[in-house]
Amino acid sequence: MASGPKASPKVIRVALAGNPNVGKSTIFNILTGLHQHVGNWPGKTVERKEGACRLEGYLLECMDLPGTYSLTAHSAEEIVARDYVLKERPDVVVVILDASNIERNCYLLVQVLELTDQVVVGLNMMDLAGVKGYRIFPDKLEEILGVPVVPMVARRAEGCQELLKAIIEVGTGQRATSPRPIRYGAAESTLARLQELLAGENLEGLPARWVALKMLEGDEEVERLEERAVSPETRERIHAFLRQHEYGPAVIADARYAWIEEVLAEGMERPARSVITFTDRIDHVVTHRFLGLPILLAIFVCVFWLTFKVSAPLSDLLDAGFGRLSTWTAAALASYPSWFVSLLSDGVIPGVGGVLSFLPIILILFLFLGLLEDSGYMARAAFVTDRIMHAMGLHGKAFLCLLVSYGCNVPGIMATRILESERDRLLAILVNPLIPCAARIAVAAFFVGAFFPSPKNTLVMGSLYALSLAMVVFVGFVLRRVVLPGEEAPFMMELPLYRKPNVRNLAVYTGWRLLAFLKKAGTVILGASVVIWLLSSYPVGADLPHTYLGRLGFLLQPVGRLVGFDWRMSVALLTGFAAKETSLATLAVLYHAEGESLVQTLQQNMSPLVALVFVVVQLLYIPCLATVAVMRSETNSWKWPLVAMAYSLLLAGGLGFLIFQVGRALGLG
Amino acid sequence: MVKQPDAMSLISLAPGQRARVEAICCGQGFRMRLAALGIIPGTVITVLRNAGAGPVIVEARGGRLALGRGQAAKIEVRPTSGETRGG
Repeated sequence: MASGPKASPKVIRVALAGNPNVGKSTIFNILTGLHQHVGNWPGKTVERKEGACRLEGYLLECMDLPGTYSLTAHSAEEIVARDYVLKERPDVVVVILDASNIERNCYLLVQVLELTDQVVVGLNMMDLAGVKGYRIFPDKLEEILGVPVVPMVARRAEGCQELLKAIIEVGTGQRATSPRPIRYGAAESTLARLQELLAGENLEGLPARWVALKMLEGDEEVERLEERAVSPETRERIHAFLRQHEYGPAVIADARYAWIEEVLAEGMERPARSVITFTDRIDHVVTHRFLGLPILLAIFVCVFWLTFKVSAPLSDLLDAGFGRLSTWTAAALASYPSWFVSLLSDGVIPGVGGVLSFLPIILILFLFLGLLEDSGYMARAAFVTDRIMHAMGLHGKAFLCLLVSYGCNVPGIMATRILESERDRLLAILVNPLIPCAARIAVAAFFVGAFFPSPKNTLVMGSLYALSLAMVVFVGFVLRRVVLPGEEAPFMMELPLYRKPNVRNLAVYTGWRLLAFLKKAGTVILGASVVIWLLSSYPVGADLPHTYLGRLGFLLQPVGRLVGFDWRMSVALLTGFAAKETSLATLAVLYHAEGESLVQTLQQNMSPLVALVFVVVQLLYIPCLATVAVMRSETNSWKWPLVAMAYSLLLAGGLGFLIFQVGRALGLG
Repeated sequence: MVKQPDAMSLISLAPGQRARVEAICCGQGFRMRLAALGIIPGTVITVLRNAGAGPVIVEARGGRLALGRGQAAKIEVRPTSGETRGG
């Protein structure tokens, strides 16, 4: 068929498969550029990334499958990946392998080859393989495997053109693949018999050999298919047969690794003794039984200190900018109705601007975290903190999610997707709001600066961090035993080789997290600032104590009094539910003070003890609206966000009461 | 005279010690996840970190894995004679 320049391009559907940490995302980003669509797989909290790229008159539609080590039915990611290959039948499945860890990586390749012949292998990280002393022969591997093998160094964009070429050749059928057959040794005859038994049955389009294989592996999804689609007589015969032939999954796994060993025996050479690498030398120190934890602490103290140091002037600049924008808007729109001008200059601009002034902190913190992640250190951080995390019934990986929350809880909660066990995820989500995000730290820092002169302020801030961590451990401990009892999920984590961070990866890591934060500023907080403005401006003509907001504050007075708050502080906390930093702005409005003078006004209106109680309560009292929203979407229910709100209110109230009463008894109030 | 060493739990190996995996106890799911990470009966592993408490780090098939202590305890191994790895 002749295709002129105007003809619609031929579409090739490509799926990208690979283990986590093999540079799959890097390759996906290079292939698709910014033409990506990110969402969720229907009904699952598994990220779905789609993109496209045009080349030589072809349109390559790429699907980035979730990174998995295997294609069993044990996790949502694995089911998503294999269902896509089985049911959507992409034209080409690209399997990205980490050449420096090729043997283990091939385990996924075997399982993909069990599903389809249309495979192209991207052999990434060839440079790291060299560092380990591996000599890999891609041409030889290609010959043995029977599918194209493209050596790559994706971080330097090497091999991408060759990969595209191979994808097109296989996708258009110009190049036929004939993968090396996989034999399952002792299980082979059992497989053949099962296939016979399955002949003529409706397997919903799935290959009989694959279904038979999965039956031997005891795959739950295939068992469900069997109940759904296979006739009762056949099922009876299959079960009778399987009872006589107990070839467990062990035989299958064994056969797969034997296949891999055969392939690699010819396709590569390894040094007789493993080379001591840069990674060995670093790990020797950072995973040391005594040095590991102090090093981790030192790294994160540095990261936080630098983050706040670098971002403070930028945040101030943004803050001042929005202040000026607000004044300017009020002046420029003077001819419009006054309610409209007030909505913009008193409601929307300060509300959204207040959130956006946290952009520098979050940007810089995520850049640092991205740097640690991309270099390979984060996996070590999980290793080092595993023992501590066990105290609250979680393991090391959960530490990584909590870390992100120091920037913003929204991406922190989304990061819990790296936890395999549902129970672990729920627990990590539930304790997550106790980690003080940048906004709460900013409010705390303002109060501490106003009431506790240096050097006391550092001590107080440090204690606040420690208190929140202690609360995380305490709440985690209680929830694990009371609300979410059950067996501890296994901790198994790959420790990748250290490598130089890559600018593109950093940009993507930071970009996605920033986007989550910006979405929150653009939607939830925009709406909330309008609501707060309404409550504080109506009924028309009323002075503040008599607006709806003021009246609400008076209603809360009996509760507030228990912890020493006046009605203004209660209102400030109420508005803080929209976004934590809003409580400062509210206080400024309620005390009729702005900027520097707010410090003086506050000093005149409350004792240091009450200020401290306020700081503690605002640090813990309730997840903000955006956090509640993301908790709902990530747990698929209102139950868990409500649980989090309830326990955090109780915790904050209880602690506040305790500190206030003890402080007063000691004569501090 | 070469005496065949006894099978023992992975957590009783010292750093640098090599051993062959004999059996993996408990749970089909756990065994399959370990298989996906490169560890099946017969695999030779090297212990890189074992501090007597907390997780361990092992090398298997050229990759390194952190394993929770509870998980490592379920892996039964037999040390391979005398071989150690530098570093």
